[in-house]
Amino acid sequence: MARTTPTYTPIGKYAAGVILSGLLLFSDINYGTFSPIRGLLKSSVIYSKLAAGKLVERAQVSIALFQNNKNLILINDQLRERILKMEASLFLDRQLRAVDNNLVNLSNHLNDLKGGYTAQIFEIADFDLKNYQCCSFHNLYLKKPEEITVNKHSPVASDKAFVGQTLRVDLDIIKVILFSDINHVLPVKSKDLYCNARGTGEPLFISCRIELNNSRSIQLGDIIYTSGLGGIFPKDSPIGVISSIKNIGSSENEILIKLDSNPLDQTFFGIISKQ
Amino acid sequence: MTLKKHFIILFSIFLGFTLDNLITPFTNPYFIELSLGFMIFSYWVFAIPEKLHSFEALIYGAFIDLFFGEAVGFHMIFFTLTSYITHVYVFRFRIFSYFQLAIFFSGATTFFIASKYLIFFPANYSYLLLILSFIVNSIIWIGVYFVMRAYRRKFL
Repeated sequence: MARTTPTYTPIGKYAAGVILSGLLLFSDINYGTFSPIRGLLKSSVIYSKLAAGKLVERAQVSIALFQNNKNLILINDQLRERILKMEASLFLDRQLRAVDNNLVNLSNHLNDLKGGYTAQIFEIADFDLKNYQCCSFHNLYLKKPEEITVNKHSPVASDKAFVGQTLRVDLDIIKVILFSDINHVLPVKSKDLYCNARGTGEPLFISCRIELNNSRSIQLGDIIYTSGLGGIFPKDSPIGVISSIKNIGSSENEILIKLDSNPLDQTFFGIISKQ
Repeated sequence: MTLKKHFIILFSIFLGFTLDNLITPFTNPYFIELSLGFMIFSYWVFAIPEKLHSFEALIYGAFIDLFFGEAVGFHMIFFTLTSYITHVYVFRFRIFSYFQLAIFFSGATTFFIASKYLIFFPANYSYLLLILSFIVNSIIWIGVYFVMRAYRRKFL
């Protein structure tokens, strides 16, 4: 006697579906075939969220009107935004000055490049919190006004330090890859160290692997700076400190660097780009 | 099945994945990953297998990949596979107890989570996360089952 009623489930269509999906997955992972479409959809979702947020904000303001607190709330918000913007622009000014100084020192005939950089402040549109807390992909999204152009691979900074670089722009939403993303590599240095620091996939941490012989003079708490060797970030900008040194194997050390700036604490970010 | 009914089903799956995105940042520090969206899809195939076949699974998977996925194809594969296995054993599932159903669907969800980590985030792969997620998802499955049953009876 049969133990269960037999079902008619032809495997052909399911197998075809799995093979088709596998091919799509392979092409998307290896060649990013569908990343422009996903980027557009993601941007649309962010816009919908922002629109919903605006509606909620308006509702809150209307309620506050009844409570005679509207003006106070608005002034408070404006002042807070102004402080955040000022902090971010101060940091960017310092960076621009450093870039200009580097260029002057580099060579006189490159003087025309001086001032060829612009710094702009952008408000955060969305943060991929799910992947930031659990997984290796760390991205945030910034709102871009229509009249401003932002290049790919431009440095992104908070009020304290650089936090990442721009990846792409979809529907005026800038996608930023953070230093802690496992796919991001940042050339860094300290007093006796030059290395390419890769994101660990853990919030606020990047790491370097260097040979044992080259790491004798490195100490916990050493300040880590951008080396400028990648051609994206200006050199000598502090980004974090060495938080641990681990021995991995007989000839290598892994240096863990804790980043100074926590992107979760920020509302505004600055982008430095060439004009 | 009418297009309206497909929208109703897809809406519930979207809601599940949206809730996942909202809840997971808070559960992840405790090594727990929920997959409500995947469980809701599994429920639909389990509840109305005669209406959801390979093509529907593929299309739903494509939508989820485009809106929530890391790469197109991942949810498509898992939705199609889940759909196939559920179709093959659908009458056996009918005589399962709630406990047995919770174990099976939570196991499928854990396999889905493990594959996601292996393909996209191998550095964050953790057995502790899988074990805890299995336990939590099997408890949540009971809730998903009853809520979705009420939803199905009201709207489909």
